[in-house]
Amino acid sequence: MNSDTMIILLILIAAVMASVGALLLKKGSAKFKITASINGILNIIKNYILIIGILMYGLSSVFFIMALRLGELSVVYPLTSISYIFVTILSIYFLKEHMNKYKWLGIAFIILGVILVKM
Amino acid sequence: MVAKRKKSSETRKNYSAKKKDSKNLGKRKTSIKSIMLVIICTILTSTGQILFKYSTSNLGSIHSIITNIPLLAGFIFYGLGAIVLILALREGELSILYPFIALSFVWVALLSIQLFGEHVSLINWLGIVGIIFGVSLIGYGSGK
Repeated sequence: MNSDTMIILLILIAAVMASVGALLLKKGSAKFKITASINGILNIIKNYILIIGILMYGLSSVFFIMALRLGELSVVYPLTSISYIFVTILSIYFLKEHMNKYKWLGIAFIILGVILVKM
Repeated sequence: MVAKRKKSSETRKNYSAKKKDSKNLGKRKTSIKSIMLVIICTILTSTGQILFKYSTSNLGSIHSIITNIPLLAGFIFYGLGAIVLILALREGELSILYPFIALSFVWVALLSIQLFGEHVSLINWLGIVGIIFGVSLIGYGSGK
């Protein structure tokens, strides 16, 4: 496998993990409370959806670092912005959120901006 | 049969109630507070990213990973960012809040100019403007 394919693969894994992680964070966040009590901390640990979300979100940055070591910033960052599209699709299907033209246009401008900012 | 009909009328009632609810919820389903929290999250994660960038130069053995303080500090900032993100996501739509994470590119660019003396071209500045405009559009779209 050449390094270009490797970079794309690493970024795809990172983007999917970050997107699914974000979805699980959203799902698990409803029951989340900042607390210092043992019961409260146990409740956070027992919130499996949230914990898996945190792990996936954290692991995605490990793949991201691996991609950063192989590739140039100007390639790695724009490619990771595919996660904005993944999250939008997940939000529509799993959270029944509604999109409108402003939101889609906003995502387009963000991705364009990410490409230009690392050029 | 009667039960079936009753059930279907109930679901219809539920549906219309839901429809009414989403109308009554008002235009904004994502609070300004949640958006502010995501912006704080991006400041934390971009600090983490700067630390990651600083740390990737001397990664190698397991020992060098454990003793790599910028890398560990980067993870701590990422962790704090995640906690703030969870707090933000409690009240708001993911499709609105997640794109705001792109603001971290803006902070990283600005911090890189300050800390690493990185050159920022006109095209890069256009990118920064593009991200800010895109995020603003999404914020505007949340009220539509």
